[in-house]
Amino acid sequence: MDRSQLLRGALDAATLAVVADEDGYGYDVLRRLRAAGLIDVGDASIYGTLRRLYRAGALTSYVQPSDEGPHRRYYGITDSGRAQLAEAREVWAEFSRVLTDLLQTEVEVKA
Amino acid sequence: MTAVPPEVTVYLAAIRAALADLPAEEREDLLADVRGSLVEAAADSGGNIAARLGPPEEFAAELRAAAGLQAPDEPRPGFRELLRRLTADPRVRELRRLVPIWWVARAYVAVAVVALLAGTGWSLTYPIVPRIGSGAWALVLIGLAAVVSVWLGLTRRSWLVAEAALVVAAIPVAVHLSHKPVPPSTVVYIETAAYQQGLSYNGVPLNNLYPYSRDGHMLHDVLLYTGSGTPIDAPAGVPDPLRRVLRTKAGKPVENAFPIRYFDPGTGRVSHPDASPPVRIPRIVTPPLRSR
Repeated sequence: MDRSQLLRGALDAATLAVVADEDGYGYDVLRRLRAAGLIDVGDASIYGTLRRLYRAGALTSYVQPSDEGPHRRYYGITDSGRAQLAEAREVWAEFSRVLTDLLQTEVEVKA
Repeated sequence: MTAVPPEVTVYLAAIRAALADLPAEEREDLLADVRGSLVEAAADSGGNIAARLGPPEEFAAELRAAAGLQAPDEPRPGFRELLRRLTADPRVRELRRLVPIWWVARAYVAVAVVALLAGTGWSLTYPIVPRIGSGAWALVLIGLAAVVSVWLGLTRRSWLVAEAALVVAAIPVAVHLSHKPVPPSTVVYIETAAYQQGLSYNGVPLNNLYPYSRDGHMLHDVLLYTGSGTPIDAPAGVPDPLRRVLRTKAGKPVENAFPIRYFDPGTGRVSHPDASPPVRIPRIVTPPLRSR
């Protein structure tokens, strides 16, 4: 199965989770997602997702000067974002339970 | 503030161009995130941005899709755009591997078109080889041209006008090569032309024939025929008034009578009817045939 296909639907939740953990700027969020194991996710997808969540009101943003380079735009989660994340957690938990059962049953049938 | 590396600037400019249809504010917000990250990413990876992130157009498309922004209404792609997409297609780019073949081919075309313009001959054995001086010299010339051409290709020197001229020049060369070479005219034809009218012996023309009887007497006015009954004529090419030609009662000349005799000029007489070549008739012991 194509991991990037799977990821597309789950990227909103993953991004919200990372930002909920701690505010971050674009590249920082990217690094943390990668560190968590989402190595297939494209840079542009993450920046685009951040902007979209921001426009939808799930994220807030503020600019902070940086010692190393240009000013950084940090993203933080809003109440609306938290609600969206909570809902995504439930949906995902249910979805993954169902799918895990399904795939395991398939394995047993085959065995 | 650290400076933005030039490659990041170039990459960003390409993304900005690809997002030109978005509202300026939206576009600049997106680019602001990307810029900061690209600077850090460049510092982290140190390598080529485009190699890591892919072409900026694709990056922009992914950015646009993830941000939920409408792709611009695709205008019908113009010819230049279609051409650009075609040349950018990896499958088409793969064809670039074949370009060394063209390097060699254009060298040949360059030499061949000069030969065509100069109107030199072409090798009969190997019709694709022009004869410049000789076929061997032409091969040397083509080889040198190929070396130069490949060198130009490898050093990525390109002069579009010359390139286009060679493509055009390839057309008359191809037309020339597609024509079957004229079959070589061989000595066989010359021998055919050497066939003699009239009498000959082993290919040597004969002026006259001298028949003798078995007992060594020269015979006169012997009429000779072939096996199919054709008179073996010794026609006088240019009528020779001195030749003694036998005639029928109707005045028709009989030209298969030998030996041919000639009148002495002004006399109408043959002074030496028995003049003969220096032959010695051998003594024949086989009994003579008897006519019935």
